[in-house]
Amino acid sequence: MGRKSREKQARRDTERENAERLTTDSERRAQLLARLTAGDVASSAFRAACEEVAFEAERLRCAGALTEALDLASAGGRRTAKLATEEALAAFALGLDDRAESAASGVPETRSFLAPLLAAARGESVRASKRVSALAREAIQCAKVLAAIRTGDARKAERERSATIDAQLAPPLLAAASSAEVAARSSPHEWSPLWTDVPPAISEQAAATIGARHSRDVLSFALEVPERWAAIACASALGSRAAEGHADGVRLAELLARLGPSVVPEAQRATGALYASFGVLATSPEQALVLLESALGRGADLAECLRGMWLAEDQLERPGRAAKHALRLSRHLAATPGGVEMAIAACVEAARLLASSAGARVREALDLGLGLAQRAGLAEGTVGRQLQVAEALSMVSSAPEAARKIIEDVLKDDPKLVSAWEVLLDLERDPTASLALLTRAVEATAHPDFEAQARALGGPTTCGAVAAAIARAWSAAPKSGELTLSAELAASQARLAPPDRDAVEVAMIALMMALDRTDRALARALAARERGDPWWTAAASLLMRKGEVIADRWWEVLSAAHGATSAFEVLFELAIDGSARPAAARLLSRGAHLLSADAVKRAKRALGRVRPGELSGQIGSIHDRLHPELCLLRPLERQDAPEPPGLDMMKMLSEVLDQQGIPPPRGRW
Amino acid sequence: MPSELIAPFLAARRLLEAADDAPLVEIKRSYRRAVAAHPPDRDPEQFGRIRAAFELLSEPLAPATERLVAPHPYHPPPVFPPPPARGALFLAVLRHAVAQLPSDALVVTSEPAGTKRDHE
Repeated sequence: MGRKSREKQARRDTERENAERLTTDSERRAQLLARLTAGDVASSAFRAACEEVAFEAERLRCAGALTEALDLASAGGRRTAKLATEEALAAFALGLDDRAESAASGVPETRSFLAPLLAAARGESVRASKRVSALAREAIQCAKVLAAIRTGDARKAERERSATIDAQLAPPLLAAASSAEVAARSSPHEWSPLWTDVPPAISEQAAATIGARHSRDVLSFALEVPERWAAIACASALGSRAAEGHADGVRLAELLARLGPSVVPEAQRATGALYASFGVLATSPEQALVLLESALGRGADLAECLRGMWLAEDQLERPGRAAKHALRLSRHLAATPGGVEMAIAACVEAARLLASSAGARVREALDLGLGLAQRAGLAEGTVGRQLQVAEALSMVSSAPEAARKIIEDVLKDDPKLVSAWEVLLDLERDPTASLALLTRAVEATAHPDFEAQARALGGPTTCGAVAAAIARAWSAAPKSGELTLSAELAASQARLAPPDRDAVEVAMIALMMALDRTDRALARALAARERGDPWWTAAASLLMRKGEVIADRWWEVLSAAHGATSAFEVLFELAIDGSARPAAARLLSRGAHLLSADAVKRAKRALGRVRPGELSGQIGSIHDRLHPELCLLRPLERQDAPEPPGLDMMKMLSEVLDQQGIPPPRGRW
Repeated sequence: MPSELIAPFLAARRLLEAADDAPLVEIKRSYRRAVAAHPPDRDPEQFGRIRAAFELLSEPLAPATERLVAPHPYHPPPVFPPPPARGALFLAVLRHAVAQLPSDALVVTSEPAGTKRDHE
């Protein structure tokens, strides 16, 4: 006989034995009941029958056959204390508390034991009792544990539970239940009695309780217990977290991805599979596709399933398949009342996917999209332009000039259309032109992706870094050479925010001065003033540190344009702000005759307060902006200040000049 | 039942009282009617909703695309059974423990004086 046949035979034998025992049990019960009803109640035979019935009821009760035990015990009509006790205990075990109370009322020991348990089950406080049995004391303790659990007081529950001395009421099981209900921290093995020593209904309830009360640890718990209980615990954990508002769509998808759709009740398994698939979309798109097929098979929302398949295929970098799902979704949505807008969007995305893969079906997608857009009256706006962009994208390889023309037309209508810029950048092959185009794209759209690309391509991203890069480039340039900006550095500067861009302009003035190109710096600052660039005042303050000659040059320009009095007011303030004491003194000597005696006194006091080592006003703020990558004016820094971590411009320039055998720049700075 | 995916667009059409398949030109008419019924100076809150609905339907591409590529489902999530009441498990275990109790255990045995504890 083979192994399988032997197992089959053994199973048949067991089944036959069980059936025989059941027959025997029921026959025995019938005989006992017949003796109870037939005999004289006063006879010893009847008393013996009562005894036997009570004994049999107890046996049935302890074996878990509660209903049978209750039926048998209650047939005795509570004629003896033992029969009444059996009826009360079986009724309590079955949750029939009124019947248990009534049956126990005539037996003091049973009543004193069950009373606290019945009170606790009803949610009532436990009555004090001075002289009770050890078992009744234990019942009182258990009632107190239950009361503490209901209030969520873990410490009190534990204290009351440990006080249960002479424990006869399954202490390990009650400890596990108490821990599952309220313990702040537990390890799964502490709860093991809950699925080894109890009926399945209690294990089920235990799993649900653990899932709800220990939802954070549910995954480790799920690994330790049979799958059936794990699923119940996980479902309960999800339900609990959803009830607490901790499981939004994204979180739920992640949780279901880890737990699997089997934790969802059967009727909602399709939605469970849908959520689980979205949970693994980013990490395991192949698995997502399997789950989506399963969800679709179970009747999940078709639009969501198609969307998930599109995203999964896209994640797998299979644009053709992704577009196929997007187009199918588009057609499905187009046939759904009120779905035309989403249908068009799906179609545009499909066209884009097909265009990027140079697929032949791009025309089909474009035509479908255009047809839908016309039906919805949306063909003229953004939708039409996006379709044009998709069309241009499909022509990037085959007809680049025609594609460029389409995009330029689109950008004339909508200069902020990011997708159009993307195609234009795709079309550009020259790296320098690409960078310039990227700069234009950043300026037009301020799109973070373009900014990131520009950063990746263009190097320095902060104004200090840009200024430091310019300093390095200019210091390395031949002394007689022009101080010009490379296209990359110009693009880097253009990508900065306006205040940062201005700080770089001021840094360039400082660099020119340090490299003895003061005339060039002055011309640049004057041109900025002509254009009304806000940074010209900082440049003027800085330039006047070069001394009287520069102050005179500014005086000439500004007094010719605005009159001597205005020129004095502006320039004197700028000189003070730039801590340019000689220039300020020179300006005061030239403009003193324009001022009242009080004004001259105030100007002299201001002159006296100039501390060459201090940075103030506009220059100070620009210095801070550039720091630590570039120190604008090292000599102005406080002597006790720690050496800044960034590029020391003066030191660097001195080294470069020294290498070239050129004496350092004259003057204070 | 329409997919939750298109819910905002359907809701916008309902708000403007436009048909589910109404083209933009009809939506504009519905919008004007809705604004006349809820002018911004008298009913700014409803006007704001009407305006938002019109903007969604007249420039639908960006919000629709954003919705399409969202990495989570819009379909209502599965509903899970509510968490069990506190104490339900302990009480169930207690009932089970009582079911296992031999009835002899209930018989009071005399104990020496002073060993019984007072309880509240």
